[in-house]
Amino acid sequence: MSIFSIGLSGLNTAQVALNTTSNNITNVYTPGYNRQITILGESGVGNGVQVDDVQRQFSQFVAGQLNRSQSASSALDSYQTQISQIDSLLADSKSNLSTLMQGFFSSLTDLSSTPSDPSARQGVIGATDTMTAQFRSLDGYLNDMQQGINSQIGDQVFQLNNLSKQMASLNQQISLAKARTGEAPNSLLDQRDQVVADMSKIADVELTVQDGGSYNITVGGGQTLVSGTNSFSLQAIASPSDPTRTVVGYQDGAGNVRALDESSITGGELGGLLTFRSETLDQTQNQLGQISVALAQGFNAQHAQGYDLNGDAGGDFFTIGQPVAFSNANNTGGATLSATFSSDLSGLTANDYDVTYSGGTYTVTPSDGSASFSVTPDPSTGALSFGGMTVTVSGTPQNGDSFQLQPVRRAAGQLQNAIHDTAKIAAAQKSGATGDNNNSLALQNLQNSKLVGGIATLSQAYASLVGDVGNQANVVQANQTAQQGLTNQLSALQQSDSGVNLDEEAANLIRYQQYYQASAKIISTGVAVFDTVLNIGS
Amino acid sequence: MRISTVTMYQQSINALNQQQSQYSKIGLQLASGKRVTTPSDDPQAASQAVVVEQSKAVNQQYTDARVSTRNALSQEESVLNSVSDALTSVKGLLVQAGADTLSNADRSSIASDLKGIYQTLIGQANATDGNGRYLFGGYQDSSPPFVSSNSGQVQYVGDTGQQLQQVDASRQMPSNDSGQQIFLNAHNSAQYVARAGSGNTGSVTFAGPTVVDATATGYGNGFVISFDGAGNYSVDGGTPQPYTSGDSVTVNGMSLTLKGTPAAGDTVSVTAGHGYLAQASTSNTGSFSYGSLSVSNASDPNFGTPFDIVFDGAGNYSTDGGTTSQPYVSGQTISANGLSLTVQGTPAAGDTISVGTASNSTPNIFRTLEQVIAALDQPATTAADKANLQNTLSTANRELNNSLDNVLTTRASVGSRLNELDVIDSVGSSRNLSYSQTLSDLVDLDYNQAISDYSLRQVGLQAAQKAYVGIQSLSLFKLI
Repeated sequence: MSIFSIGLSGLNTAQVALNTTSNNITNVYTPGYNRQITILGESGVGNGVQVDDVQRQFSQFVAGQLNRSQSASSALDSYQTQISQIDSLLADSKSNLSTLMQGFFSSLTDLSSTPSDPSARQGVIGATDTMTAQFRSLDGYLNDMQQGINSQIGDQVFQLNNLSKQMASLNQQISLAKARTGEAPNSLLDQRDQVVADMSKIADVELTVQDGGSYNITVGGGQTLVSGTNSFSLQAIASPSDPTRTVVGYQDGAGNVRALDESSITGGELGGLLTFRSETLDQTQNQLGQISVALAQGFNAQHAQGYDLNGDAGGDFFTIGQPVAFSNANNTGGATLSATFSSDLSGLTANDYDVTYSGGTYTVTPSDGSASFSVTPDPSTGALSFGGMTVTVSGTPQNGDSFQLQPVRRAAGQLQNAIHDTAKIAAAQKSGATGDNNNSLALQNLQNSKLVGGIATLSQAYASLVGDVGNQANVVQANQTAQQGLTNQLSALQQSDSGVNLDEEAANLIRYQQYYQASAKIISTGVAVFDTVLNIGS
Repeated sequence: MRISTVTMYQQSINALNQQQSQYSKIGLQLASGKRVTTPSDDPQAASQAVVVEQSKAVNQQYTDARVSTRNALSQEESVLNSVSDALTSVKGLLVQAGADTLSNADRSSIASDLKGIYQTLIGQANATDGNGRYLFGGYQDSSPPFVSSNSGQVQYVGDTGQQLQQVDASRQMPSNDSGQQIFLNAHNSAQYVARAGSGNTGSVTFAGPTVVDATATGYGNGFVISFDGAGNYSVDGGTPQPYTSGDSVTVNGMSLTLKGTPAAGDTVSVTAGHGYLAQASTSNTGSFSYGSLSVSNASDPNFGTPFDIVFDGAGNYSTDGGTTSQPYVSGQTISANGLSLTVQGTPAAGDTISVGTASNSTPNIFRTLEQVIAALDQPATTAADKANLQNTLSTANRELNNSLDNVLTTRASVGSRLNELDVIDSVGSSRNLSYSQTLSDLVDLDYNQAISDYSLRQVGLQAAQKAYVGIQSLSLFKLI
């Protein structure tokens, strides 16, 4: 073999190596780029050098670890973004609910002092308006968050579907390229691994690498999103148990769309949203609702015992909605439930209830995870009584039919002041006694009564709402910091193998430049040798 | 370990972000003066702060209630001062009017003085607060509680309601006293009042009554002495006794001195000064007795409402017509509607004691004045007229004393309530201070700590920035 071809192989190889280095340098900040190194090998025996491979530095194991960690981080990030909104909402001390409830009860103190004074009565109406407006506004904010989550679920599902399609198409391109050249192009592999990373940020997807190197992706406990070159779509659908709630649905082979269990997706932004909704948002809204129902019912009951300035018995002081009941969309029977609050409020909780019918009895499962219990209809009225409600069944349920009861979810949004005429406040205990303030005193003292679930005063219940949200936000923040640390560490580990180091590339650049110069020198030496030989005869 | 360029930058950026967020967090704390700016900063403290704030707000409500109670009581006190001054001057006039040397014209002029005071008293009794609410109408505070009837007599149209104010956690303080309580009432230790029959035609006059034996059977019960005009008298229609002018008659532990010549049908009646009377039913079959009736709680909402004590003979009694019954033990005190009575002995089934207002002895300062004015305006020429005037003045004097005592007692009660408010105020303000302190400990910032942290974070942030610049300037490319 000639010195020229040896020198040439060196020049070629040096060029490939310089290309690889240049590619590394230029892609130093490209997301998903994996560092490449030129693998050199001897070309035959004494035939110079050849490029065995331009190798992508990628570890499936480390990438998998990073993706899982990233998925958990994204979930906690989105959870934290959401919960910090409620956290700051409760932080404002001037307009918060406890301040306004204090203002309300303090207006009743003024009423007790001068029970027939129109300005004291107007003061009560004003304070009531302000307080109920704040209840509604808090509930409105929380409800906006519910709506926001509904639409964000749609967005996330849309993005995930796009990524699934990209993945299927990349699987196809990679297998085609492999079939053509026997080698998969590094850039396509990088893209596909980046798609996996992007999907992990949306949901906790599972990756399975097939024998042929094709990627399969599943989500939510085994629902296939990508299988080879095929992709399947998720759908954002109305929950069968509560039509106002968007959940993730999966279309099975037969074309039926089935709602995925909300707890089956816990990772990624989508998982974070779902967890936040079921763990914090529902709970907070229910707690707020429970306080408003306790306030309205307790206050109305006491108010009814008094007499107003016209000598009439006190009417409703507040209006409040009634519990909301949904029949599951998949029910086979035609029964519907309707519920009213019972007069004894001590059973009222901040739970939702799933009610399932079977063989004449109803199994009730509270949303806080406490034990299910059976309820049989009252023999005379046919009504069910539990959780501070009386539930009426109309129509005939079939075995397995289920219903969801939300006693207090939107209650705070429906809390209204029912009294607009100053004369209608029932401050007196005796009819026709304008100076009688006994009922006003009793109303004022409701602030010290354990109205909420029979165990907490209104302000204690609000304190526990604040404490619960604060605790949850605190825990999420701590978890998020810890998870972010883990992700950073794994990212550094992944980068230590796959990331580009510019100093290293600078050294390579010099190295391969010198290598090129040296290889060129071989050729010039060859020329010199030839010249020497050629000049022998001259 | 190999470190990629991205990792180097990322780590520096992470460090910068972290330093910056901690720096701004402390900045926020310093600006707001709060350690806990959102509930998540310290959930326990935030939740506890809600509870402490509520306690503080309730404490403030009590403070507000005390302010309005003090205001109401001070107004009442000032009116009661004027009323007691007026009554004192009436007393002086009554003494003057009793002088034998006065002519009819003199008495008439005293009467016109009294009329002025009478009008003043009506004005005081119908006093209003700053909001136009009547102070002494009980719960009927929107119209004048004392109105003149067609016959010229003043009638009370208010009720006995007493407003209570929540001035402390466990103290509801009455912030008013009804006109009934002030002007139509006598203290339960009030003296007994003797009154000559309005149709008396003789010249019998009386002095007293005085209590000679408070343990006598029937003590506290009123009685009527009637005369037959033939030198005899009988008590409550009993056996006639011979009468001599200057005799002392002792009945039910009370003694009364009688003078002058009574005509047939003349009466002198004696009643309890405070106007409440217990009376056993005539059909009672059991053997029991009861002591004197006393006022145990004039602020009871049903105070003054008549009631019957009914015994079932099986050791129980009821004060509400049999709805609830309570066990009876001999010697026990039975209380209802603000009145209490001690009962001894064994009542039989169906035995009752009626408790109610003694109609002819209802204290009423306006009625007293009306009667005195009428008597003084009436020329006194005959012995009977003079006896009548004498008796009216004597009854009025006794009633006036009772009324003045009652007003002074009420005023003392108002004063002691005002004193109590001062005591509660000082407790309340120290409680407020302690709540504020607790609240501050829970959520407020320790400035020393925070300022020192602030400088520390500043140094940390500067160091992170230095590190970033240092890393950025280190590159092999700079050297080739």
